[in-house]
Amino acid sequence: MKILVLTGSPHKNGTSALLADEFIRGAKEGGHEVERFDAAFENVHPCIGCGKCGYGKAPCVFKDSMEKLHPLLVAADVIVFVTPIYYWGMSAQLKAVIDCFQVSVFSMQGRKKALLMTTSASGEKWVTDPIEAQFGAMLKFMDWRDGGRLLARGCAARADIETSLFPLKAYEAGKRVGE
Amino acid sequence: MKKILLIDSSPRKNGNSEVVVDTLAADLRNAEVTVFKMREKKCSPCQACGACQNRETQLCVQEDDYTKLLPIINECDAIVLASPIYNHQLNSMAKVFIERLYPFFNYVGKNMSNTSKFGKKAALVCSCWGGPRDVYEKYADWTVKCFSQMGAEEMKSLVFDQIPGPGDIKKHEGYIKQLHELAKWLAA
Repeated sequence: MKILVLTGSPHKNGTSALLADEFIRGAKEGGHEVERFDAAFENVHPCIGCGKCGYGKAPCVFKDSMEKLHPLLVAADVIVFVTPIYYWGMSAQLKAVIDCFQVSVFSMQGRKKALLMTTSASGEKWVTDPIEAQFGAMLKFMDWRDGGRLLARGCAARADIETSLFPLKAYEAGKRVGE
Repeated sequence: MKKILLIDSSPRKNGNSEVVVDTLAADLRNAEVTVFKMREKKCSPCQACGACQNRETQLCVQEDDYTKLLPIINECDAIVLASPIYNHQLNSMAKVFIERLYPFFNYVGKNMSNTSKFGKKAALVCSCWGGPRDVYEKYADWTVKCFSQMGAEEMKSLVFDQIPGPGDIKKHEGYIKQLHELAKWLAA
């Protein structure tokens, strides 16, 4: 299977990066082809809603990292969204990528499965309610299957997550991703 | 005189979010209003570098228009963020706006904030074409609470749906009426 991992953190070795690393390790061991796109280290111009792409009829007016990502978004069997929770949502850098989905939206709908993986300093359950609402609405609109959520709450720093069971869960989710 | 900050996160000139802030600004002519249209400004995403943390006042190492706005966010009496809904959420620029409030974070402070002024009002106004209105209303209601970070203690959120094109909000008398009511609440 073709797996595409989209990350949103501006920290190269932060909490959510560990989840992405472990998921990818599991998925590769499971024999899957994995691509990774770290949004905060790419050049993604925010969508300006100009409509010139005609939702798939023409390329985006911006020549940026989305050019290489669009074919991967279309080809992927599974898309994994990995982000720290910032003010109860995904990072702006990851959201900028999602806003650019418009260019390929009709080629991306259906067939795929999506997973959500988050890390948050807060251990409260409600901190992930807004992102889960958004993720659920996106699954419905894109007609994607829910591949599950790994919500690593109570992980403020790398040491917190390293000593938790979340990396193992991410690894196992990667191993099982073809099921 | 009340100090009111109006933010438009839409990339579109003449878009619905611009109508929202311009309508409010016209109603609030007796207040000291700052209108900040993000598409005309340089606002980079938060890098989560942490340089702003554990401080008594707001400091950001990024040299852009958002950093210059921090004192106004600190001193205002009310803030409004007008954002289009893109993919069932605020657009990425609106997320940049909220995430850059991190210099106000202070774990030991009241409401985890280092702001010098509390009791502010905050409103989030979201506009969109279609989609699950009930999900958006709940989401907006949760999200406006992020403004507790800069000292807001009274919040309101509005979702204006069924407005497909730029500026179409003007065709909805009910929505414009809600904006006039919002302006009264902000000025009160």
